[in-house]
Amino acid sequence: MKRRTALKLVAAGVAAERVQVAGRHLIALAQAPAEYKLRFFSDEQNALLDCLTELIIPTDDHSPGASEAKVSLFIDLMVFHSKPDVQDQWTHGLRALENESRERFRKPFLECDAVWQDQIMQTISRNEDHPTTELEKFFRILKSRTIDGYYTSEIGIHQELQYKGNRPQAEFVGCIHPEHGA
Amino acid sequence: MTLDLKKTYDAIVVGSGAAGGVAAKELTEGGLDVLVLEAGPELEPSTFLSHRWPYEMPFRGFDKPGDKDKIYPHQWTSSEYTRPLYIDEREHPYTTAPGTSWIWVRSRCVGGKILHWSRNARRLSDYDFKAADRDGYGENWPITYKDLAPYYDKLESFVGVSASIENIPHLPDGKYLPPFPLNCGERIVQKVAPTLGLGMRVIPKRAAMRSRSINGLAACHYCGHCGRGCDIGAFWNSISDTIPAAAVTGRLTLRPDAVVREIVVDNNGEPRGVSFVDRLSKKDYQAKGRVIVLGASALESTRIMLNSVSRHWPDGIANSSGVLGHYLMDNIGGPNVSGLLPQLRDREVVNEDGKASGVDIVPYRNIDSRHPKFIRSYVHEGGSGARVFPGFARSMSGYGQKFKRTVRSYYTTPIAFGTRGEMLARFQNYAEIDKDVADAWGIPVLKFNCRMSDNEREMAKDAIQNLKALMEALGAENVNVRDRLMSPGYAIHGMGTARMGADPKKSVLNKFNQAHDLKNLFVVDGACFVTSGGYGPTLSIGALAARASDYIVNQMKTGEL
Repeated sequence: MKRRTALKLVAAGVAAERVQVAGRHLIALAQAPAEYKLRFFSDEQNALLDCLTELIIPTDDHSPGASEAKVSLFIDLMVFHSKPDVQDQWTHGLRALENESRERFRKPFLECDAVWQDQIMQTISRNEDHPTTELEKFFRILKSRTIDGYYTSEIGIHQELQYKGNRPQAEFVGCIHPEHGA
Repeated sequence: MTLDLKKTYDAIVVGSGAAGGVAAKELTEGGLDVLVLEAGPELEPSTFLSHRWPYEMPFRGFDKPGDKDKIYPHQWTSSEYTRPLYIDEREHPYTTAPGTSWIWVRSRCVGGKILHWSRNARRLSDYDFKAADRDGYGENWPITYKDLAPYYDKLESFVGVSASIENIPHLPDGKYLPPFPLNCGERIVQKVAPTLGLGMRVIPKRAAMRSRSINGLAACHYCGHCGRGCDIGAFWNSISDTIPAAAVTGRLTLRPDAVVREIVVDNNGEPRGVSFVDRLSKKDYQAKGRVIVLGASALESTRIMLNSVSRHWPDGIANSSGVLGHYLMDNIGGPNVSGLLPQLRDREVVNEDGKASGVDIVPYRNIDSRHPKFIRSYVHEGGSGARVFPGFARSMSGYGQKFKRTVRSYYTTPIAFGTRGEMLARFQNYAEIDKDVADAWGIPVLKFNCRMSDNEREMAKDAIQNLKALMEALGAENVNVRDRLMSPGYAIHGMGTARMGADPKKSVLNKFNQAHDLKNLFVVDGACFVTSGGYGPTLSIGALAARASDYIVNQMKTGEL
């Protein structure tokens, strides 16, 4: 008798039904919604967010950027489930950014050209390590969530980083470089 | 086999993890009829999310915001991928005395915490068993390395430990499968660390995971996510090795969802069985056994004993010494560094985290000389290479094309080291029953009174200073130093609360894990530890459980039990 089979038999009398319950729980956990609909941000806010994430991680000749990876939708989901104070950071941050754009360039951020948008990005990312203004703090959470969303997306993992693990493999090849050894 | 409440089992084993699983195997193979009671459900390995991609998870593996604080505040190793493998703290509360702390990570399911452990499988040595002789602190163990060595051999030969033979007296070699190869960063550390003059020696992690298939058990397939539960059972996890081995004897009855309330005693105060609550129906039952073997984790076993109060045992069963619950220990955790090795930039990405097994820096303090600030020792555990998520990106400044290119360039460069060290056994550190708080099954919970001492703080200071020096010697960039000594419990190595000893006045158990007060009560998990050692106790727990089981089988044969 195989060990695994034996274990199943041991559990059969008492636990079979419970095993199934546990299994269902995991499967339900893993189902992702097929078509995501915005739950927290408005279409306008999402368009702005989409543009900002793409400015942080843009498309280049190596791989698509945050926009194609739909990072703004991931942020929407996370912010939707966050506490009110975190939600306020996002809505206030987006509003402050929009105000900054209108004050400096008399245009909504999305209508600014790349040079102007970059000037605003430079302003808000200036004190990344020790942010003080509302916009500087907003940049921090924006960038952090963009990193979270992008590098956990299919595009981020497979096209951009070309990660090679998380698959069953026949062998593990260690370091093959003499210069790295003793 | 289903549970027969009328039958008197030769042995009732409480718990099915490292300790309970080994006891179940050894006792059934020794001819005993064994009932294993496990508080949680049996999980089907095919439902583990071992290979799930972040983008297949509702919250990309980051968890639904707020869930952690609400449901799992102390289950720090758990994640969105592993929820059923950990307890829900709303059902399982515990308390701490003011000014003290304990982080209590728990799993209730067949296999318990060994379903997702770190697989560090180092033997203890007489450096540990006779530590008091060396530096005068505390008590020696009532056993020597020679007593335990055959059981280490047997356990390693069965579950498989992949490691290298090193001939280090204070870290004895075992019966090993070939070690996992080191990746580039790990080999660089192996070359650089010894040049610091601290006595650092870098060896492949001693890992209870299989580089080859043995005993019909699967070999590692290098997916890299052991912590989510292994779908093929390629490391020692109880549910693919010890429990099935017990089952094939035909003498095992496994009852999941059996939350043990207390040990039932007769008119003479002697154990006759245990009472348990069904996890789902919340109905009460009693099971009968000649010998009771607790292997529910140090703290859960202690809780059961402290809750087993009767006319004969007003302070908890087998507690004539008054030390039950005391000498609570963990290993130290917290001091760690991470950084990036610029010499490994812009490499082709290969599978580097798939073996999920890095390197150890062998304990080097207080071995040949004596440190002026602290006694005992510690180990550094570390690893290098590309991980699926580039967490270091958060420490990279800027945005745009340059930022993206930099993250890509450094993707293959991360290196990180942490520390595990000895926490001293002290009577003042203890767990007791909180009479005012009960869990979802009405069972009184534990209240912790635990603090780190200056010895642990000095040890942590020394460890972080040396890790910083190592990162400097490596030429690492973006070095992140976390020098905080974490709360006890953080290393998830609860130990010591029913310790072994030669003197029944100062210990709960004798050298065979048998209660001094009661010959048919055994505790085979980390509760029996006299010292915490400088690293994870699991392999030693398994070896001690095997040794105690061997003793039980022999005592039954000769009619002593």
